[in-house]
Amino acid sequence: MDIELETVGTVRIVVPIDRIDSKTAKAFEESLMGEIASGNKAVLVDFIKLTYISSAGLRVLLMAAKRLKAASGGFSLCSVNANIREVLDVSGFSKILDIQADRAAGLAKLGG
Amino acid sequence: MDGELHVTLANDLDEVGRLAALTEEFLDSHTQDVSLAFKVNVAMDEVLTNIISYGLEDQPAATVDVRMQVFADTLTIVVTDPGPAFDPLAEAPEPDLESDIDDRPIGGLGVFLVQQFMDHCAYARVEDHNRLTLTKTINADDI
Repeated sequence: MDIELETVGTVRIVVPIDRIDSKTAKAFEESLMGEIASGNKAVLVDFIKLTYISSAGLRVLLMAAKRLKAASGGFSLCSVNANIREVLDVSGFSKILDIQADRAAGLAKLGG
Repeated sequence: MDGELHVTLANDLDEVGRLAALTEEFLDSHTQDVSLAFKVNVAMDEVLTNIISYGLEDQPAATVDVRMQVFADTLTIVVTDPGPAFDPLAEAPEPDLESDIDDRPIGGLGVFLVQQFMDHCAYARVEDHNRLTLTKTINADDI
């Protein structure tokens, strides 16, 4: 899958494109966990270009959130569409992940 | 509007995306429910990933049969595979939806999402095949 990476201030922004399913979750995992492993402490995953996520993608989000929490870093999602939001709500992820309305709010939250 | 989609999938995870596109096209032309295809695709993704990654691991040439039918206000999906007997509904543990981030287990949500997004799920072992039947009522306004 295609993934865009950007940096704004101290915040690393990861933008997965199109679909995170069982086929593409591995590429998303390598990209996101790679960014965290290389020392980024404030990571914003921007879902503006994402249309679909399955439980394989939820797994990666939880791994990243745990890793950054352990590293005293910050992790937020933003620009989540209504369908994906429902997956996050149903799976109980909305309670443990920080979800911001848009990129500006995400950057503000992470101190970028 | 009544109709049926019948797809035979190869034993390959790429097929999940192909079915998703066909499902979207089928449901968009047979119902007015704009979120239905998304929910069905999440459910089918979980079901097919289990079958392809685990059930048919040792049978590369095996195929998975998917029949999707809209009849009146009900969507019925029947997924049939020739893998070893396995009831995904019986094996799935209750997911932990409440623990904080440190204690939340990674994974284990797949079958739960299927059950949340479909109204009814049933498993049967029929003629050496696993048969999973998923049904969902379509909102009256959306038929």
